[in-house]
Amino acid sequence: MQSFFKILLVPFLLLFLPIEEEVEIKCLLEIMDYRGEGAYFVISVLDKEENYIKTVYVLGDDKSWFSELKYFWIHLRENNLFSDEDFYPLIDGISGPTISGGERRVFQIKVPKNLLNNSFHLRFETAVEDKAYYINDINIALNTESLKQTHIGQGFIKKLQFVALE
Amino acid sequence: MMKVLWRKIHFLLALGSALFLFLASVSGFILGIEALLDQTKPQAIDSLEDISLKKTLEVLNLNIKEVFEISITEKNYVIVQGISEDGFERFYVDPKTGLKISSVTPTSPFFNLARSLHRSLFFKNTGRIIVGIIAFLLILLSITGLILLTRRIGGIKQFFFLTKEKNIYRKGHIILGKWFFIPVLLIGFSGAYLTIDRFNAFTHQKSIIKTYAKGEKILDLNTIRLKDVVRVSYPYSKAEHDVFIIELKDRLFTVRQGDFRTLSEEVYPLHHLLKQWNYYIHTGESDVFVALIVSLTALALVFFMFTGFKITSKTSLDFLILNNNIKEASVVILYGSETGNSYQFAKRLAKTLRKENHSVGLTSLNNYGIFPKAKSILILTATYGDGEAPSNADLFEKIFISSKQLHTINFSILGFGSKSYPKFCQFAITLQSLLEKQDNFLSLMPLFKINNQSEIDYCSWVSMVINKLK
Repeated sequence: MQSFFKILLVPFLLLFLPIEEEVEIKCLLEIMDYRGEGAYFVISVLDKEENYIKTVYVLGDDKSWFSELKYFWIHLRENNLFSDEDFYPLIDGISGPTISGGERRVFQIKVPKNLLNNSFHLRFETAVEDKAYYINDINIALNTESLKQTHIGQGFIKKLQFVALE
Repeated sequence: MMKVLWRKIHFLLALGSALFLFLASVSGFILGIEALLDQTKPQAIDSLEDISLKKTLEVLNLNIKEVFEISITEKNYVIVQGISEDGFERFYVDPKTGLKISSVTPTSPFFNLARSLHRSLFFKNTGRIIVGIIAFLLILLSITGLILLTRRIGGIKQFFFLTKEKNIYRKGHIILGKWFFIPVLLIGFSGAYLTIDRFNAFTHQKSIIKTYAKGEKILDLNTIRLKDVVRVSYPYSKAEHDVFIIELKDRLFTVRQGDFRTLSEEVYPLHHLLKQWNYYIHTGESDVFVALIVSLTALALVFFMFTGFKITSKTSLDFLILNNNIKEASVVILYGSETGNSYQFAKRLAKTLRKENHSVGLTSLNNYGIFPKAKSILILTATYGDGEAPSNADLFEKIFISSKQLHTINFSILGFGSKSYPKFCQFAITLQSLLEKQDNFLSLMPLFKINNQSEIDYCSWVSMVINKLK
């Protein structure tokens, strides 16, 4: 019950901030050289208790494959965000095509400034049909320190690099 | 009896794949329409072969704030991932002017659904395998169909002449076969290839990787046409280890920023190109003409199935049900039926004779051949139009001349017709005189004609036949 309350509370608090200042972060993603379908990604900000706070970017735009991203899909279902009318606006403007083995991609994410350096996490959830699903392909603290480093993924991600633009 | 064999194979293939083939054709048609619509959009660039990569990089540099990546899709869209005046996004650009056309929007869920149905019937890998098998069956169907077609119209040369055929469904099937044999074969082949490729059948073929020493090779972007480009990834930063990655359809270059010195070149194996070619053929995404052909072919497949089942419906299932060891039968019943009435009588006759302990074979007049064990042949036939053969008997006279029975045959012919037509039972009369002329054919009794399917007349003929066969 308590965690449920928090899910409601955090976006609620965010609404009341005067103007939501955002940090723009440029990411370079490199993918392992695997064979198969394109990888689906969801990049989200989580709080300490692993509750989804904000979806910042997704790779893949066909909703039917998002069920492969199991935890994210549970989050969508619990919050009634999985119907077409809710889902597509949710990823509007923050989505790109799936990424295949051996490819690299540069994209930019926006994170509300107040989430930075505030014990939130940035999680890269990845899935490839018939291959694997990684709930924490990359899961890092959302702070200035870790945004300067290069990260190695647990699954499909080979390497992740950031440049904070501000 | 090769023709019967081909017909059986053709029919069994069609029956076995009917449902899936129908789904694949309908979804294929929808996707063909999507491909056509996509080519009418402003972001579809039709002159990619006239534009050099160098020119495009220059105009994008002038007009776009920051480019992360350029990709050129099968639909001839040039997409930039980067920062436009609206912030970071993916957007279509005109590669000649370097101006943004519009932002990329997700594909419509309806077409995604059609695509998913077409590729895997919503069953993921199991479905993909089924669809692959269907594509393979489509190859076999088009080949057996072509064999049947050339036999039916009397040789390849006849392809370019009009077909004389009364039955509208037969005529439709034949005309579609002439027009769509090649597209159907190509769609089947490319579909099967894409499925096989999807299951990594060709991964043993590896790319060839060359590395170049300093100054050995400068990549001349002027000579690279946009139609050959798949993707250009820009360097992530100004640091020297960050490079351009230029992927063409057949190879990939890594190039140093600034002087465009080539660092390495990866030449893709053959299957990479074959996949692109098959994708091009199968989807028609890159070309309005191909898109039009594949859409029409998908539609034609639906009509093939419709006309195919119309012409097989009543008689074709019989070799599965009755069969009908015609080679072993001592009494062979042949029917010539246009509307199915004579066929119904023939079936009844077969049943009656089996009760009398005769070994009976039943088939249409067009399936005539050498019946090694036959002692008697009973023919039940209607007449079509002006004394002509019904559609499943139109080849009989030709086959009859060329296949001589091994021993003497007793025969009896029963003609169906209506006295309201001047040429009452004309085709039966033709057959009677044709058979009488053969030395080893003995008439059991004179030609018997039935007016308007008279039940009484039929029964009296049957009892006469039974007596004669004893």
